[in-house]
Amino acid sequence: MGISLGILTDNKRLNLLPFDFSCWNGTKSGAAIISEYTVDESKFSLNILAHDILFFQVELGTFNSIVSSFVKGPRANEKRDHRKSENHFLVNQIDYPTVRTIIRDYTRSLFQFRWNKKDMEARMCEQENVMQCSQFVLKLVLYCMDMKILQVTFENRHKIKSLVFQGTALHPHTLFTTLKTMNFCYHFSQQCKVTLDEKTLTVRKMCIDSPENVLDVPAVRVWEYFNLQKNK
Amino acid sequence: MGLPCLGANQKYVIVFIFYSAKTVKFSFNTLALYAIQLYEDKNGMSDH
Repeated sequence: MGISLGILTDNKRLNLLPFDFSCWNGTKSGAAIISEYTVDESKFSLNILAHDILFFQVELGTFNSIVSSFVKGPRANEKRDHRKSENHFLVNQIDYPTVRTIIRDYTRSLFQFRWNKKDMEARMCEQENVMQCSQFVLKLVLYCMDMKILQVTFENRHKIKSLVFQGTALHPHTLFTTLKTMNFCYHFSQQCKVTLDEKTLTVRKMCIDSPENVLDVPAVRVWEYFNLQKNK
Repeated sequence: MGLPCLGANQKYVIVFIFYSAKTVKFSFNTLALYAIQLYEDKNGMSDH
């Protein structure tokens, strides 16, 4: 699964930034290009088709800080401070977990019957530098909850936080079914229209065909994209 | 880094895209990446 940014227009159309900032197997996290899916039998490439979209609305200030976090890489000599993990959420250049780590986390999650805040903080520290796609999204949701950007009931908060214990074994479908039931998240159906690089597509016509090609996208490029969209 | 001049009255959204597991033709690059990963896993080279 992936994360991107967009503007929802009045006619329920989504202007989507043509970059996905997720973590892909075999690369560090970063921006991969979302494009229109065109079947080309002669091209032997990895095409990953979009299937569903969930989204939630944020204020402009939050939107800008999330843009900055996606595009900003960790400084070479800067060690991340785990104690401050609640005050920042994610940056690019995060490693993808190994298969062994995923299996280990899956096994551990089977035996996690109960947990407290301290357990959760400890587990989140472990997950600071190695993440797969669902964890990446989960971390963003947790950040928005902690910063009071999202208003979440106690029960839903507990439901979301308990997913931390699945670690790298958190399956995108588990996250999808959890987020879909939350009152802050909206489902963009497969028939809804998405504007991607000036083309109008349905959700299912979008794909990532080179997830291994991660780009460095400067924040100014993201803002320029949305400014251009706004002026059309 | 330039400041954004987006309109405050627009609906800004964070989008989660769920991809389908079907498709897919693997490129040689992708296969090579998987092979390297498997090799590293087997030899304990890349675990954090």
